[in-house]
Amino acid sequence: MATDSRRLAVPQSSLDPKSLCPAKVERLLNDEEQRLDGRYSSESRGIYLQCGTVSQAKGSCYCELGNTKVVCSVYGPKDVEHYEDFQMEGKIKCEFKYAPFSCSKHRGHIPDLSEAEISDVILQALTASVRLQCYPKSLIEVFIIVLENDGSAVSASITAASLALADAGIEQYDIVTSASVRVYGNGNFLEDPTSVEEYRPQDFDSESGGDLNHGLVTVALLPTLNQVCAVLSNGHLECDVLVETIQMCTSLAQNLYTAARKCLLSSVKSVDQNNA
Amino acid sequence: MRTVIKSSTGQLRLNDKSDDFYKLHLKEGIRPDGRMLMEMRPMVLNVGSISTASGSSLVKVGNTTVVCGIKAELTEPNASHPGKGIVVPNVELSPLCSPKFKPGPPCDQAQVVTKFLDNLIQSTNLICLDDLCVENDKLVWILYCDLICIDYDGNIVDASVISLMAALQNVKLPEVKINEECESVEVNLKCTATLKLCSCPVSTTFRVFDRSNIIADPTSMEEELTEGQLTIVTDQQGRIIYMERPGGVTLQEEHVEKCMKRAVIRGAEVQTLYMEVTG
Repeated sequence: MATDSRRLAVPQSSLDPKSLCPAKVERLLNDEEQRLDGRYSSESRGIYLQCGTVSQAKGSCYCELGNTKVVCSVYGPKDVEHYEDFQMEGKIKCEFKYAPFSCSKHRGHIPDLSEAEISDVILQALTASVRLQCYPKSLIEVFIIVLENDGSAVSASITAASLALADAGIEQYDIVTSASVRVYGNGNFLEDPTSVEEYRPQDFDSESGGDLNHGLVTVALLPTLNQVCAVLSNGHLECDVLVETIQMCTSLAQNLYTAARKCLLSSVKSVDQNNA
Repeated sequence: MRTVIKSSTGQLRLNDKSDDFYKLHLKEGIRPDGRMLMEMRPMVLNVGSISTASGSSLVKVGNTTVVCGIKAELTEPNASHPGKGIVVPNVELSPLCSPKFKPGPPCDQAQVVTKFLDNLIQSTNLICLDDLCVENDKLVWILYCDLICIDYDGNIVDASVISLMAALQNVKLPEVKINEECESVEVNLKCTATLKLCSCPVSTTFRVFDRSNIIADPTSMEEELTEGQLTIVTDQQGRIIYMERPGGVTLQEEHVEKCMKRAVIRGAEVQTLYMEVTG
């Protein structure tokens, strides 16, 4: 492990006490088709969105999806560094980070590969909606931090990032909303999964014996244009199951549009009141 | 309350970053955000909102927002202190919270605040490290105290100390035993204990403007204009237990005295806030 002279020294490794408890084999759905938190499979958690949480940022958004908590702030457009080539189109930089205390195990401070991958997915989703041709020679920075991860953190981040961009006054074709669905064996679709319900590679071997569908699909959508701008699929899914899951995600993301719109409207109203 | 002062050049904007603008205010004994010189910003404190952490808190001092999450894990002790647990604070000033900070390794200011918290924990014997020992020379608790700044509007030190203390009071450690027969570690998640804290410090930060004016609880803009800082830490009995003055301009004795008195009053206020939230 790389040591960092700028931080206080920590031991090489430590153990999460929860991991020492004997793991129970849990089924994600009980006989009454209810999930571990009491929801039915086609039941999403409540979402809370608020723009303007970070006073120093150009635009910002706080998103709470069940217990998942995400803060996103946007800076820019600003000049690109001098050594970069001239570009007619603007550039977006996206940095996604889990807070060290946000997951079941303590996370390192240096972004790891999975965080880099998620940054890239979010970047793809945002690039589709931002009118980059309006910002030549400029850089727009998007920073996201997950304070608590209880599943679907990527979807929450994408929605929050797009609203933060809108809050910063960056021109977009449409806002981006996103939703996740966990495929749990044949015919079981768990909407808006929690962290326990998220797909792990070992689920595939232990639960299914190899012939069932298992995976997690996240879709980012431009709701008014009804176009899909990013898809992230993990696990083993048959082609028609994947199509069905994407359709399900799309309609879930579509449902978020009202909440996103309300959030933007109320942030504009509160700014209006402060100025009055 | 908003104050706009007229000058010969016409109306100055509220977020104007020039010295003159600030001096005009100080002449009237008021600051651009409507506060008196020794007035603190309103504070919000919330504990236990992050369920993945063993203890957590959120503090807002004006606009400045800090989230502290404490993760308790088990590790082997340091060879030099085989019977003592480990506490590691870390302050993160990410580019998310202000355009001042750049991505990458922690900036100087983040390192300074981290070191300040570490000094405070060690010099005041804040946590009894012997309590964090499960088995001598084999297994101890390590508390990763991560403080993440979400919104940087000055006075990160006070916000950090308050959120760290509130989060520490919120920590719940599960019962851990070592089974000697099979040498395995047994954890009982249902049986939890809170941390014993030897003291409960509160810090108050002042800054010096133009050598003669002392202002309390500076905002980000005021930090840029002022030179010299003074941080006073008081405990629940109103005693001063730690003081830091990292360089800057010289200070007169009477000013230091005034700051101490103010710090004691503010300390008592925050103590009642702790009690309300955790008690």
